[in-house]
Amino acid sequence: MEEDQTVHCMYLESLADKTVIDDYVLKALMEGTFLEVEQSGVTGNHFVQDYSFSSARPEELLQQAVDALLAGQCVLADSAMDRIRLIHAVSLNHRQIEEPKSESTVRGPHEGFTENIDMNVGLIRKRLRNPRLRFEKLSIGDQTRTTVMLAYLDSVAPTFLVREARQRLLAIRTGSVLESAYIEEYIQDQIWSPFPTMTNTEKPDVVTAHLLEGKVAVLVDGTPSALLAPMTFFEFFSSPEDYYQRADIATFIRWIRLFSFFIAVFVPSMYVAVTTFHQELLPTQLLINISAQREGVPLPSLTEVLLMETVFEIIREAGLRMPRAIGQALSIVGAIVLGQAAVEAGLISAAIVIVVAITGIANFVVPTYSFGISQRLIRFSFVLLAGLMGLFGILCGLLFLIAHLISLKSFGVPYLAPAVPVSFSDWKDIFVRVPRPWMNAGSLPRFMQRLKGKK
Amino acid sequence: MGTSIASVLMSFFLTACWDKIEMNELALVSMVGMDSDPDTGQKTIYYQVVNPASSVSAKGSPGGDQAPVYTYEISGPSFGEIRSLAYEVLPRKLFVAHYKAIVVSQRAAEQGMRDIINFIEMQPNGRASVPMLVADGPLSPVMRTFTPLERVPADDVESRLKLLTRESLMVGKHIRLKDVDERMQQSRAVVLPIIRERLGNKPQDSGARASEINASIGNLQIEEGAVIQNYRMVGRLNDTDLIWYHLLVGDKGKQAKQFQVNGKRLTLEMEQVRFNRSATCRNNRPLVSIRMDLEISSRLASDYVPQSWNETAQLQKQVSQTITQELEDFYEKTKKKGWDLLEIRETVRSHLPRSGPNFLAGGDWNDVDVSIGVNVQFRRIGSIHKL
Repeated sequence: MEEDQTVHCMYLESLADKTVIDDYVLKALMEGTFLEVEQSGVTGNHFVQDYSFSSARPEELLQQAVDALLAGQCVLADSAMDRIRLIHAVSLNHRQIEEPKSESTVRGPHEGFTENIDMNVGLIRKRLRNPRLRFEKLSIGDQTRTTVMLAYLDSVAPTFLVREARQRLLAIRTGSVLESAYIEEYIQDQIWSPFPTMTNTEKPDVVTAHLLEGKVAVLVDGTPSALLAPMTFFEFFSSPEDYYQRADIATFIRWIRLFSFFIAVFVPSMYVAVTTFHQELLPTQLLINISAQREGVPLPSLTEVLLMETVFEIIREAGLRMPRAIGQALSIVGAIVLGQAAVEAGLISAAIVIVVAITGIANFVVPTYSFGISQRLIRFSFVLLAGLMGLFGILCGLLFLIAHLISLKSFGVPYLAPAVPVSFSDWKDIFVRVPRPWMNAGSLPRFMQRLKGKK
Repeated sequence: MGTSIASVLMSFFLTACWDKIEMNELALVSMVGMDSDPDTGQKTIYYQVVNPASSVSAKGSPGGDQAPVYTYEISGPSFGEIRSLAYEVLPRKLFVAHYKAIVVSQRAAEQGMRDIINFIEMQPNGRASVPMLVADGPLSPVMRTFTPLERVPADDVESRLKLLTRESLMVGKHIRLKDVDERMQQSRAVVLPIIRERLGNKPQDSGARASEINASIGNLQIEEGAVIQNYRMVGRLNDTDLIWYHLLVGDKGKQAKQFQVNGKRLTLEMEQVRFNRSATCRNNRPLVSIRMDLEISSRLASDYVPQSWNETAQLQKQVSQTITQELEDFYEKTKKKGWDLLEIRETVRSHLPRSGPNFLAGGDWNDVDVSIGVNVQFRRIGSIHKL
């Protein structure tokens, strides 16, 4: 500095990059080589911003300075120049890019998002080098002021969808946003439906693929989970690995997933219905075997199933929280010993253990964790209906479920598309995965094209 | 208000709870036997109930000394009353949806089976697609016999009937209760298999039965046929008659039989491949023509095998004549006894809708001319025996 001038340099050590501040800001100030930055007053310059004392009221300037400090920036209060200068010196301390634990694949990229939103944006941009890829920055949460980005491909995403997503995000009134689930609960279409209308992923290649289909993504600072919308029922059975494997095996595995959904939802209820109300439907030998197993068991089938399903859920939840060292052993002990011991004690029949085990395993086949939760919830409802009214109860529940799914929409897209409304051309990537040369790579699915026509 | 209405409506789901039945509460009936004493009028039903505890346990071993089935004998003045009396001996609710055979005693069959069929049809969950058999003599020994190989006797009987239907001409397909009922209503005859207990030192418990190597003693046997007409048993057919009967009604199945041809005994295996029955009018009289094509195999023959095409053609002709003669003799025998086993009446009615009923009303079905034609063709010839 030419004269002795006092410049106050303020920053939060935990958020700002001390090295940058020491090497570039303080050193330059002390050596007097601090240069004026061009366009420092231009809106949109995120690196250096100047606010003169006269440009706003002192309270506002103070608030801006505080906000900048909390965002990790360095604030220079220059009384000689009657200004405050905000310098972008945010520390880039973040977790290493790793493969997400809940979305591991055999083949395909293994990169996953981190808690730093800028890093996540970079991972997407790296894959989608399209100048029309837009990221709209928002700040949501009165207390946390979390940075949220709405991402979409301008030429591809329907205008209606982008506008709807933006409106929903702007309408959020909350004190804190710590995870994308907070945002999801505000912007989803139906609060009381057990079925999710959005999905979350930690993989940038998945986000990229959905953006190319005209969908929107919501990135939240502080969490690696990105939200994607709109989502239909059948899309929850797709996995990114379907597109990294051959079409034949991908189709086969999709059918396995659909079949597993039915197993996970209906097997316990069918067991209860058939053993309690419709014994004539069973083959004779099976009836005799199940009857033999149930000799001496004090509980009715319905109670047995509900009890074992609840125990299974307890074991599952406990397994999530257990320390890794003992978690695996304890879960095996819990499953085997509990099941075996309960059968030998005559509390439950052996068939129940098999039913619950098959159901539990089938539950994990669906790639999306949030959809798996839906399966678990509706399974209990079907078991209760089966216990009350047998197959008729299951059918009533099924009709109700289908009616609910048909009425559900995800950002304007019918939830059961392309089955309802029917669009046979879209079935090539829903019920089967046709080889890539047969897919119309450039065109959107029909249900997304309909959104384009909306205003 | 809406929530209250919804809650009340949801409680209607609870109304189905009274239909709940636990499996442990059911008596799984595998075979039903029905008897009627002509002297006292006393009716008896035998329910053979599966013992689930005796089946393979969760550990994989059979359940010790427990019998696979228990036979409950319940008597009463009528079949309907027996339903109410059943729980004087039965500790569980009767569940007849899985029974596999109905056995009627010979004396009950001779008295008439209308009541029996009516009783079974009126069961809420009883099935009419179950085979019916007639017991030779008293019913109790048949219902109290353990069978080797198949732990549940009803499984044994069902399996044998299936094999006999497929692999022989001893048993036909139309032996189910519903077939009997339909045919009786159409005034047609039906032939039901006869079941008896093989004599010998019968093992007294299932454990002894399971460890007895001689499967022939104390076992059930299915042979011969009971002719049922107008809901009554009117006679029997021996094994040879059964073969001709099933050929004449068009049943499929292979049968090996020894023939006497030109003084030589010859074991031939025959299988019906084509069958046609029709009725025409000839000289103002109905003529029923029965034509069948049989494929013959001499691979089981060890005494005589044709050596040339000429011999084969000759043998074919002779066998055809022999079988035709046998069939005509069988028809004459049944005609004399008044058994319309060839369904002459039904054929005339269906093929001659205008003139047929008039003829039958004015005359007798015995006056209908019957022509039987058999075409025999050798398909497989061969023997390892040197001639």
